Amino acid sequence: MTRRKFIESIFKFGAAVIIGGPWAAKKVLPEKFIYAIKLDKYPGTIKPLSDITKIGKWRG
Amino acid sequence: MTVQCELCPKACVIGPGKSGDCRVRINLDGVLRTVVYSYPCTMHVDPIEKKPLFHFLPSTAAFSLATVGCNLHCKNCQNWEISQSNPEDTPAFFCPPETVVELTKNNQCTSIAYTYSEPIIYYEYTLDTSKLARQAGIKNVLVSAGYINQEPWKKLLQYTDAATIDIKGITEEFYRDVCSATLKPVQDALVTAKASGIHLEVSNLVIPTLNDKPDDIRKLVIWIRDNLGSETPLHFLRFFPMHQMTRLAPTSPETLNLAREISTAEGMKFVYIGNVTSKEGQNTYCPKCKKLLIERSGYVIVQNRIKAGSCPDCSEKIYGVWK
Repeated sequence: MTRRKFIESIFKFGAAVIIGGPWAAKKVLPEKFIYAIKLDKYPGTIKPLSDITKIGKWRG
Repeated sequence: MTVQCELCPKACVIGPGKSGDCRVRINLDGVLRTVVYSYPCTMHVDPIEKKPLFHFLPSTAAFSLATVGCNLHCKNCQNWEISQSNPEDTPAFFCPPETVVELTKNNQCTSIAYTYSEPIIYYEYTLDTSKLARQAGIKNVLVSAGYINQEPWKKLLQYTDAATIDIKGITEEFYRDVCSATLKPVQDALVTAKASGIHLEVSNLVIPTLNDKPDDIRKLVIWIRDNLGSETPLHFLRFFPMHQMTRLAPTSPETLNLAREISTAEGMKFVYIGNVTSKEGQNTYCPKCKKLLIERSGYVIVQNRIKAGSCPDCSEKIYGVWK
């Protein structure tokens, strides 16, 4: 390998790390969220409004 | 693609289609979603004293709601049927924030209490409802374990008027073994809440053999006094066998009275005992002249002598929001 080709290969490797690193990291690391987006559909059943004027049986 | 929820210190890494530890925040197509926004499983009109909040608008009604789920898993949870259940197993009302505000007005409630389970895990619903309530002149009350990260906590506190935070114990071991959580973030949340200027009260469920030693109680009280102030109302609550802790006896009234005595001796001004009949432990006395200020019987105010936020006998200012 000539000296020129050796230096070229180092630059190519460096460029690949700079360009591909964040992409690879994004694939591997989880995306972080503090706030969630509302889902319009509740996974359970919906019940009609009733008994809301009473004192709750729950603590608090 | 996995997501990480950074709302609370658990920092759940959630795989596709899965939920976090709280059961209600899910990863759907690489986005964090809340499945309980607008879907409370329970709503009631409660006296504010039930939260417990003894120094915040006494004798008023709080429109109280909760969704399923919790980010703690206390073995002694008294509301485990909702806090430890999955949304798919629990029927819910459809009640968007504007409907909550409307119901609050229709039921002559002064405040909305986000309570029973854990308002932090239905954070977005709490926050949006609080914003609308504030515009409508309704107060917002949080009843929480305070297990939340600082950034979302500070944002929520901007729309909060009062909070009662349950500090479960004063050791990391207690939080780890009994609640599947950690103590430090709760202490940080308490300090931030007090510094934000909201009205703050603190509760502690006294559990026989686990957090009822006089030294533990003293350590807890000293931390509260030194970090939140001696004026912070403190409620010691009686434990009843519940959920995964059915083999322990209920807390004895003597232990609760001792906790109150220790607190008073350490300089706490307003100490109450709850879930038990106690005349002295339910009433508010002036910390200066010791005269009776508020007499309570259960959740009922028998008499309230506080005048313009002060003792009528010695003019001592009494911590609280009185009107």
